[in-house]
Amino acid sequence: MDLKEYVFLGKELKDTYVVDVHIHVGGSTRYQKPGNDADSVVYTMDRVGVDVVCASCSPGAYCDWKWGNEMCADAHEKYPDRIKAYAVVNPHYTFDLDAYFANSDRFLGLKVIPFVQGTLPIDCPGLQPYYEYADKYGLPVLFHAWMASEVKDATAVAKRYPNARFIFGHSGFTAFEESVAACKQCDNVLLDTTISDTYDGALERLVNAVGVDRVAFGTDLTAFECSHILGRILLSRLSDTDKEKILGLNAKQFLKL
Amino acid sequence: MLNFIDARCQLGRRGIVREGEPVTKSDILELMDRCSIEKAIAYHAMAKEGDMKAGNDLLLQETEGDERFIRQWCAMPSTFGEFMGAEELAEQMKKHHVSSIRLFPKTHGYSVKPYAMGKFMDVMAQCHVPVFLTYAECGSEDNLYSLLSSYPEVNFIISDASYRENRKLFPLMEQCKNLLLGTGNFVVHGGVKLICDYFGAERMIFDTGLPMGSATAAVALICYAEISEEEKQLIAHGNIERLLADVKL
Ligand SMILES: [Zn+2]
Repeated sequence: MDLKEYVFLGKELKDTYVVDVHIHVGGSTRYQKPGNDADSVVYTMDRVGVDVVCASCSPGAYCDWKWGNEMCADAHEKYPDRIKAYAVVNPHYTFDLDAYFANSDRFLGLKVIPFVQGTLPIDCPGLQPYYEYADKYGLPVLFHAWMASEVKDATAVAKRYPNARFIFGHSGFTAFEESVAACKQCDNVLLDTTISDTYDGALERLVNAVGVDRVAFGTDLTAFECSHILGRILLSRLSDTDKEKILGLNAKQFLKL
Repeated sequence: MLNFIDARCQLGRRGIVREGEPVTKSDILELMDRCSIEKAIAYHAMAKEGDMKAGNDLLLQETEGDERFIRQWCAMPSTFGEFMGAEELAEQMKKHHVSSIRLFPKTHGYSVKPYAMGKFMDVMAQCHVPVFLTYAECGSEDNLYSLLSSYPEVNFIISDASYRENRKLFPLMEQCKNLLLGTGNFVVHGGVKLICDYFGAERMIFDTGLPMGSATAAVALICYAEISEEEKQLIAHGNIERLLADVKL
């Protein structure tokens, strides 16, 4: 069965390995975020056929990182094969990352989103120790990379820390030129497909520009749905082989899952 | 397999086109075919962005003899001779097989309060003409409430509510039974099922916003919703078919 047929049947992707590199657990005071707990996430994963998600905690990004990171690690511990956890870091605080990563697989990598922490730049001094740590241990780092300036900063970080692996969230659709430049300059960069709203043809344009190996499925679940982004991939003009790379194979390799 | 009727499609040349975006009618038809969209309710870009009368005329030309598109005109409450009056509009719509109207109050610079909409809406109500507009074009939730509650007999299809609007949208849907939600960009986690559970599948109308919006995303949102086949059929085409069958021009 063609991958696109799954959409019309509303059928979960049973025989395709699917990894969502960018989701969120936890609520929001800013807007209603239904089904943001670990059980609801796994329920949705089963509904559409996602094997693994990589999650950070939204309230942990905005304020209490300690509470948020524990919540995220708990989600991983409840569903160790389905939910992987990013630890949110915050440039206003000092983190003992050994407490998170040494001799433990509670966390997969780091989530960096200084945009909601006083709109500090991604390349700010307060974050350098965490990039150094990621570089030393080859950890993945998920950036919130929306604006062109954020993507330029993220590119500078990716160049400086070549042993760390960086996922640029959103940027392939919001800062196209800068994202293409990042992929050309840095082998350790992957772009995700996370976007609430874009046009048909945007994904094909991105894949043509950076190559299919540099794009991975990401959705922002539970900040919003995941099925519409799945639809953009499954009903795109790409081949099923390319769709499978984006849906899971690229992330599997990049994140060493 | 679900067949869709898209309740929000724009034809014609627009000012801004992003690289790789559909442009021509055949680009749009290719996407409709790919996404199992049988028909689309279409207005003309010129009627939104350039000249309303010229755009509505262009729509008639572009859709002449084409059964894939259901004609929609852009309109505004006739303000001192600028646009045809409501009765003439209804006559012209009947003559040219135009079955619904789309409003752009924000873009076109007028108020949706009853003092400005007045007789125009009364005629739309008499003729059972469905009125389409986007959430953002209303300007505010209070404007939207004023419009919807002042004309309870008119069915309003409100589209492009984002995933951040539930706290404003849900009380509106509860109070105003004439608010039907366009599903295109309503990407709340489990949102389609939420609306079905709270308000019923009768309150949603499938739309895409093509060519600027995404048909592939809009279709998947309905297909993967955790609702019954009957509910999907209503959202995909049943509800809009019912509204259009009820038009009395
Ligand atoms: Zn995110």
